[in-house]
Amino acid sequence: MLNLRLALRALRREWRSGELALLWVSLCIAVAALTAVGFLVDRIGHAVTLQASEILAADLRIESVSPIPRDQQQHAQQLGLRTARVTTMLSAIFRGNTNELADVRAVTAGYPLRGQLTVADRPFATGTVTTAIPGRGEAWPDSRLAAALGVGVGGELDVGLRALRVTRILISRPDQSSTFVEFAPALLMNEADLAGSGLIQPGSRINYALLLAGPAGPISAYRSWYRRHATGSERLADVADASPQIGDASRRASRFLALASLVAVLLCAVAIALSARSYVRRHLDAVALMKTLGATRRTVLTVTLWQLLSLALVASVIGAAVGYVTQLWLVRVLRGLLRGDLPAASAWPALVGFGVALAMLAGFALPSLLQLTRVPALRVLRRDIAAPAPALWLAATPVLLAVFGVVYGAWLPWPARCSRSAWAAPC
Amino acid sequence: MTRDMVLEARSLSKQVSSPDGPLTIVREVSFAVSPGESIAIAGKSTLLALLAGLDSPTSGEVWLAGKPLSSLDEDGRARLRAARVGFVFQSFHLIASLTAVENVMLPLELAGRRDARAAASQMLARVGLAQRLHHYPRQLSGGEQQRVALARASVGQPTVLFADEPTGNLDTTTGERIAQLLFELNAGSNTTLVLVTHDLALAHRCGRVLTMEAGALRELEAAGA
Repeated sequence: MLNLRLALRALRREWRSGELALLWVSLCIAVAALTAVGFLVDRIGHAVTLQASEILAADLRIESVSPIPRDQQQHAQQLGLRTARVTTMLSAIFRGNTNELADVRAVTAGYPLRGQLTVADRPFATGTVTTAIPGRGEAWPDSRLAAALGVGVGGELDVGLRALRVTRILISRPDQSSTFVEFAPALLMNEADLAGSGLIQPGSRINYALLLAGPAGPISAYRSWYRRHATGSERLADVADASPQIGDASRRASRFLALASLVAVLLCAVAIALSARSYVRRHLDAVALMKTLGATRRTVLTVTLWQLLSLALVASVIGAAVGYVTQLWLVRVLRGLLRGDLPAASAWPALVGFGVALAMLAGFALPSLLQLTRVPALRVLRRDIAAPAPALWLAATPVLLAVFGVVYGAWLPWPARCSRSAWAAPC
Repeated sequence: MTRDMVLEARSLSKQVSSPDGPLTIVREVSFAVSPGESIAIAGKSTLLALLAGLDSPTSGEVWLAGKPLSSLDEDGRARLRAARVGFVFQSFHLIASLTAVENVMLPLELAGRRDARAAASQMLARVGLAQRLHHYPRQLSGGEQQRVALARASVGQPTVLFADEPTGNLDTTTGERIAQLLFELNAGSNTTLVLVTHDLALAHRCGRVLTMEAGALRELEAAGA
């Protein structure tokens, strides 16, 4: 504690004298440059992830052509995940003598787990959001199906052997694909009505899906469990698979921004190294004097380390704040290119900024500052005596590589990061 | 160590290398200083460095405050200096980024004293700088800077005070005032004063005067103090 007190006092005095200004400002700029990009990439990554989750209507989707074993859903529920089932098939829907081939989707309560259903009272109207699903005996045809069959709310449709009453027109659902593969109009019904509908026959082409959503931890735990218990006939889909085009574009843009911010970091690193060396040159006499007055090497070392840590902390907080504001400005500038509002950023980029600030000080300032611990006390009488100069490149090279790796890896957004790190935040 | 001696050198030698081969700059020096005594050494600062544990002898031994310096490592010697030793230098050696009071606080802070600021302010008042507490060294005259250095050396009530040419960078009048203050502070405490100087008039104000000739020490008969 004594050394911390000494360090903070010394830091305050150094700050007052302006000797640490260049080092500190360089550090702030480096953290600000990194966190500005980090926050932006983080927000875009989250937006892309959310969008991808909506395409799946879940965070994780297990699909199979045969019924999915119940224990898979039970285990997910035990982990605290929300679940829903979707059973889909192509079937002809009848209204009197008129029929239309439709993509029948029998769902359970909770569907969709991500994204929203919108419904209306007539086809092609502006929909309103609902969290409900069709009740038993009800059907929600989409606008195309309702128009093709000439049915409205209150009408009846024959789905297999069952007659279902139309209570809503389905305007949109999150997992409707924009690809031409999904050519048939859709009909949403309650899974409970499947029994007795005769839709499921031997040889029918049925697709069973189990939807899962929840926090990153349980999702990750479920994936691990699933890998051990998968039957082989199922396919696991996550956000990385949902929209690879969006992910690729986002990843390329993020890499470009990360590289741009690394250039700023590199320039700041040079400034930090130069200011640290100049600081050391100016302080050789002061440290020799402190040793003469009784400071041990350990005292000089811990005071130096505390000073660096304090500098890194303050520079990180201020740098991250500047980075956050810069990111807000970037979002404003890029508003025309972004779709809708971006979700809030996580604290992750600020933590990376702090780590990078520490690493830069360790790589570019610490070797010079450690030279101070080796200054002999005798220098107070013989000024020609100095400590050996540090081999800066020895410490700086691995740190540069580490910073590059951390920034490049940390700013690597969805889907690569998600697929590797088991779903970083609700990534 | 001889009983009651606060500082003792035994057969102390220091050899350095030179282009012409090894050069002995301190040769078989032996002497002892008792508590409260003032001693002047007319000669090299090298001897002061050896006595204070700032440098290591080639052979021989120094006992400082009851401890043989050769048994202590660099940090051990630093701790001993923190507890028992004060320094005054020719070129003051004040830290430019610290105010007068912060410079005087430094040894107390290193010793972990919580009352560092109060004690430092009090000491500066004793040397006549009560109005200069928050001045930086560059804002002080040479004489005032040396007074700050004297306050710093004395504030921890050291057992031994080493002074290396304390008036060497000052004009005659200011030098005289500083010397006066040095001896007053020394007289007011039981501190042992070891003064290295080429100024024989100043040296003779000490109880004993030793002079170095060709690396060897010779004791002169003292006239003062």
